[in-house]
Amino acid sequence: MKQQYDKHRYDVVVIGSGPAGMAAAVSAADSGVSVCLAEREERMGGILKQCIHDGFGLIRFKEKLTGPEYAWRYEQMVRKRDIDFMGLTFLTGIEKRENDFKIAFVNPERGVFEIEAGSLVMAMGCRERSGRQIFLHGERPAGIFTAGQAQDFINLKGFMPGRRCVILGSGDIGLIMSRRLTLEGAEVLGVYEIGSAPSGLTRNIVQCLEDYNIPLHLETTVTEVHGKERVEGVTVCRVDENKKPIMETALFLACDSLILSVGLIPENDILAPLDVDIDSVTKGPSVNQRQETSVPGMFSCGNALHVSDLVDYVSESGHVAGKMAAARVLKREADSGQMVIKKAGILQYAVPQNISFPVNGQVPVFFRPSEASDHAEFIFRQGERVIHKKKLSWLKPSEMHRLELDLSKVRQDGPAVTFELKPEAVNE
Amino acid sequence: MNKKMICIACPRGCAMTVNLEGDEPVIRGNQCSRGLDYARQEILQPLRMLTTTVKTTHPDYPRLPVRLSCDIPKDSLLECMRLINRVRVDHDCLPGDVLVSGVAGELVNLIATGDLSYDA
Repeated sequence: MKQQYDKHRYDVVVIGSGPAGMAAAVSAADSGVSVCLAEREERMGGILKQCIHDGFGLIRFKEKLTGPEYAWRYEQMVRKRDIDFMGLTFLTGIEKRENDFKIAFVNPERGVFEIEAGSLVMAMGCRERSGRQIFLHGERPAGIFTAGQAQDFINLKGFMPGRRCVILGSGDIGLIMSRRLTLEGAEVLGVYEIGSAPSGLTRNIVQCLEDYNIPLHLETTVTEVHGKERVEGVTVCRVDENKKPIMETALFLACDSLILSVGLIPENDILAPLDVDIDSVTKGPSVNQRQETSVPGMFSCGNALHVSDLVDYVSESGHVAGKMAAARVLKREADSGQMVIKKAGILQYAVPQNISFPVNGQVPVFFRPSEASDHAEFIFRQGERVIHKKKLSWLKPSEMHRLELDLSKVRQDGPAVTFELKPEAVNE
Repeated sequence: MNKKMICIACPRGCAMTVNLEGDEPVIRGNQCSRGLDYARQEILQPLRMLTTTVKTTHPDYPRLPVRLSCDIPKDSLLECMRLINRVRVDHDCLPGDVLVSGVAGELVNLIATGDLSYDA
């Protein structure tokens, strides 16, 4: 393992070395500031290390890479630069001071220690929703795993979590794991999704389920887990339009494991004492176009900011946060004002949530619709003045969109700015 | 006859229709040329990439992630898994290293996608 460092002050400290954190550390270092990259695991890469399937990097590297290959490329970029990487280092607290931050860490070499940072980039990623969070109560037999746990067991540790599996939820990791379990010789009885549409990407329904004849049951959920020491089976039930189980449809399935793929939540618990504004929809901090949170000098990126479908977007957001965190240190200049961007139409959320003045240049804006729509128009306006319009097709809440918008066209003294997603009826 | 298919070449997942009535298939709904290639191949013989892991002798990293050097016929994936599962790695390697030449037919190599180092 690389030696630990004993510096006590950095211009930029990045928390988490997944695809967002690595990109942030690289862009901050390229701006000419001192950078520390803190990681709780031994190695860089985050969740990519266990995502052995391919499809990563089509935008960033114009190539179809596996997760470990994508992580490796970024790790080489980090290692080529003057970035202090601290592995096995756990963040325990953040104190905001007038012009900087004091951050408390613990690691095996230095014990409990503190580092000062001019700016902070929060790149902690997200966590999987667990059985408790979807009200899966009762006995706690062995054999209930989140999809990411099952992925860790199979791909990194070489253990099979079960031989006869039921998958609850149709998130991408659950679909990927359905295929992975099948290839490793397990029997996947089916994927059960309470909603009326799958929550993962359509391509994963095709290449992970249809290719292996794994059935997908929509509007169906698990209502009971059987077994005391080990899972012996589950009861599955169709649900009505209010997502209430229809008891007459209950069916017992004998299985030895239940794999949960029921959503991801940005990991921001450590921010609670700092009163950072959190977006109630994304569960990540509300940020401005520089990805700066409501705490000046603290930036957020990647899945800690909002859960993305594509790693390429995660790294892009890390790149922006790292660059802006470095700029904050180099030029300490207070913003001249801030404006909250309003949402309208079928817009579930959009990031950034705010505009800070002065603004310059194009910025990437990420958003999801709140409902499926064949055709819709994205409208960026200030008051009634339309600044940008874009027609979009085949929108689904499970698929994130990215647009580049020129926020410098917003007048600071003007009326409210709105992002509207307006569904359109189109005659075919 | 119209055949519906979802392109799996990238995460966009275009919904395509393929008309097989003429001499050449007529493909609609793709947003880029990769969709055309995918649809033509899918009619001829569906190909898929296989990614998995192999055993190592390393005390801390018991599995090494791997992929094939090219896509293989979809119906040969499980047989290919059986062959790959015999492989054991006991040496340093980097992403891109060829672990086994001709692992599933002469032209298909087994490639490491992760790194493994036996230095303490």
